[in-house]
Amino acid sequence: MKIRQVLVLCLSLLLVAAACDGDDEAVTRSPEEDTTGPAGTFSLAQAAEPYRDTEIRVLDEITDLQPGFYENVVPLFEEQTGINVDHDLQSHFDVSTNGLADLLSGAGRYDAVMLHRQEFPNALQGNGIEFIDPYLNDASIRDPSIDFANFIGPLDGGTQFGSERICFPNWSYNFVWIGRRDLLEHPDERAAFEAEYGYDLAPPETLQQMRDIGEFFTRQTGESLAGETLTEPFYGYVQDGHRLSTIWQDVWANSIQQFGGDLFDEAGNPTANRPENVAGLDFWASMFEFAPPGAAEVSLVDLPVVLGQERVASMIGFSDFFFTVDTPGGSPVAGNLVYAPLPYDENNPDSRSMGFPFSCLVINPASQNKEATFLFLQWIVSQEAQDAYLESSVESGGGFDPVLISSLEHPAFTSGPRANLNQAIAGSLAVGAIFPLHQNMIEVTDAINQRAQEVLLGQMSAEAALDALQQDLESICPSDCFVEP
Amino acid sequence: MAEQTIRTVPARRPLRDAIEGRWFPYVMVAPTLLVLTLVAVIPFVYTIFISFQETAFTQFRGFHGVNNFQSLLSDRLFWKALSVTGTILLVAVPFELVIGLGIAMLMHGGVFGSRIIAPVLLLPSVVAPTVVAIIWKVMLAGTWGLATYGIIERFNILPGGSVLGLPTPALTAIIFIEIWQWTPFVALALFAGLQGLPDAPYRAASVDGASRWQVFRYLTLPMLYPLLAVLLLLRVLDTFKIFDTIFVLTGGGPGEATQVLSLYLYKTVFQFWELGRAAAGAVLVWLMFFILASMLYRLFSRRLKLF
Repeated sequence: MKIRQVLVLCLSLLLVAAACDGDDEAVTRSPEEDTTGPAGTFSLAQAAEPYRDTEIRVLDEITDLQPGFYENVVPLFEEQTGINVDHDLQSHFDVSTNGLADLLSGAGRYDAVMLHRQEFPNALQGNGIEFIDPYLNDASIRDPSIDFANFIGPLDGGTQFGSERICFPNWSYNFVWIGRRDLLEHPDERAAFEAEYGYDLAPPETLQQMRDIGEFFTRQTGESLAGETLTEPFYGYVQDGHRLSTIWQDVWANSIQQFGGDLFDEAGNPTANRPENVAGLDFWASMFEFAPPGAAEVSLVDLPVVLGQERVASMIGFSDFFFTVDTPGGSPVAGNLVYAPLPYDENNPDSRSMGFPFSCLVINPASQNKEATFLFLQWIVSQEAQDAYLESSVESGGGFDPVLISSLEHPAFTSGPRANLNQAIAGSLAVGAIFPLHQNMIEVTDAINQRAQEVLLGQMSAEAALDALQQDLESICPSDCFVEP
Repeated sequence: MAEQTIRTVPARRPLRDAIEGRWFPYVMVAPTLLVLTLVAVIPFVYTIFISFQETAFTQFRGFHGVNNFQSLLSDRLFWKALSVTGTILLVAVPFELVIGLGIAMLMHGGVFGSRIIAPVLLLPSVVAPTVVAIIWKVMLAGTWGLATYGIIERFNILPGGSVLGLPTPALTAIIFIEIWQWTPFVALALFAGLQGLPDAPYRAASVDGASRWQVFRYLTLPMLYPLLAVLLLLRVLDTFKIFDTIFVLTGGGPGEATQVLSLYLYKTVFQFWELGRAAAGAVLVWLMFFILASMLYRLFSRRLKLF
């Protein structure tokens, strides 16, 4: 009996030793070893094996895009890898402040932090970004199927800093034009518009057409709109005008650059007061003539609210704000919206551009789980994840902004109830223009917001505002202001 | 045998004697002083240190002299923020004191249900400033605010504009909200003060046939001066720090119309990451507080002999 017990005990110890020995082998595997299976294939599960049961913390923004993604798609990653993704979704302003604070302070509360393009300079100058090149060169965790040439438009170049890569692009935020379908398709309105402007009423291709639509649909109490008498004023257009909001994107890229101007030259010197900038700023401010009262307090998050109140006919806004608004039950105007790519200046078609405020999740230099985090960020831009994201968004009514060219051809993107919105998104993304990496980018955007608002409020002309902006920009940084590698 | 006087010598208890003796007050305040030192004094001293440093995001690059102060004092936006803060302070605080005193006098004179009115009156003052801002956002927001839709747009009071979308109305709204929130606090403090005033002078005044105005002017008001002085100081210092309401309602806009000093410094730190300049701003604000408080204290204690 004793001998038998000893033998069982020895056998048990041998089995335990064998199991432990196998784990050590997995942990100490050298980076050069092939990950799995047939040569040249990548297995996420096997690449993630050393990092199983790791928890990574991700700070991301909350718009219509993120909740569905983290709820419906991220579990696929967690199932395959055993890596738990603990996500914290915060508002635009909070994620900007808290995210940069965590990156720059070295606190390391988050393994991955979402940064907007305009926050890149601060993070780069403060050594708050872990470039992903070392991990891209690690065959044990690099997925060779990720093709940077498959990223839409400037997302490839926009995620690079010199010869190094900052991140994979995640959220391709974009501007589109949104209008009320019922108004644009009403026969009386169409007839009246054609009689007044000489062309068909349709989603605008040019900024001038956008202005005509805004002017046409601005009506007073007692006037007729779509066959009904108005009991309160109705407005043809609305856009972001808030002091702390993103009017600088509308002003700089969507207006001034489209009119052939710019606020900086290629060397990074301020050029706000160049004559060709006046037309763009004038145009932007003039659109508020057709906007509801209080335009200076309407922020980007207020735009869907104003549209949902059925008080405006059209607007320029971020596409990701309208997935919920345009979902059945999401608002009174759900199902009644029509979209178009960001219009351009008919006199400067070659300058057509959309301010591209894309963002991405960067690895925190203070992270203790960089490899696991890299696997997650790499997986997000894989075809598998993007397809799952697109398909789940169609099912759930959530949002989807593509980052891959291949997603633009996916049947779920080109057809279905979101086909029109997706077409507008694709059109805007095709002319996306990334903002330069100014070393004081946030101060620059604040100065643009301030001067633009002063034009909006009629406190100064566009020309005077641009002169004042030039002084502001020179006091922030007089010359050679772009962050260089 | 002679009587022996037994003299007992108490056991020596130096520590207990020390604690219960002249060191007692210091022992009692020691924990509070320790906490204050940790959460206030040390951070403040560190802020002064940072204000003299050249900073790059979260890194220090060495002694920078007074450059941060020079940079701040030569910034147009700093002086604009200071003027906006001063405007709010100079308008709101007097109104709070005058209206608060009026309400206190009414309640002191006997109002039906004052025991219920008093706590209800205090509600705006106990609500967090951010919540107050949200409440007023719901009231004043352009196009969808309750007051905007029901009153301002209906009667075309601000043609083409909104309260928070125009510079002067926005600043006026901020001042009004500040008065709305803190007048009840002032009123209740003064009401408590009125309740504690002695009756004898009033009886004597009644015998002498003094009018109500004379009673108020020569009895009530002078006896309330110390309390009014304290409330004035508290409200001045508190109003100077106004931030939450403005951040939620206007973000400092439209333009620079409502950008107060605290918001300006917030943006300098958390958006522009200029720690040195922001620390210099904090030191300057402290100096302003110190000078202002000293002047007021000197006025109250030496000139008015209140303390």
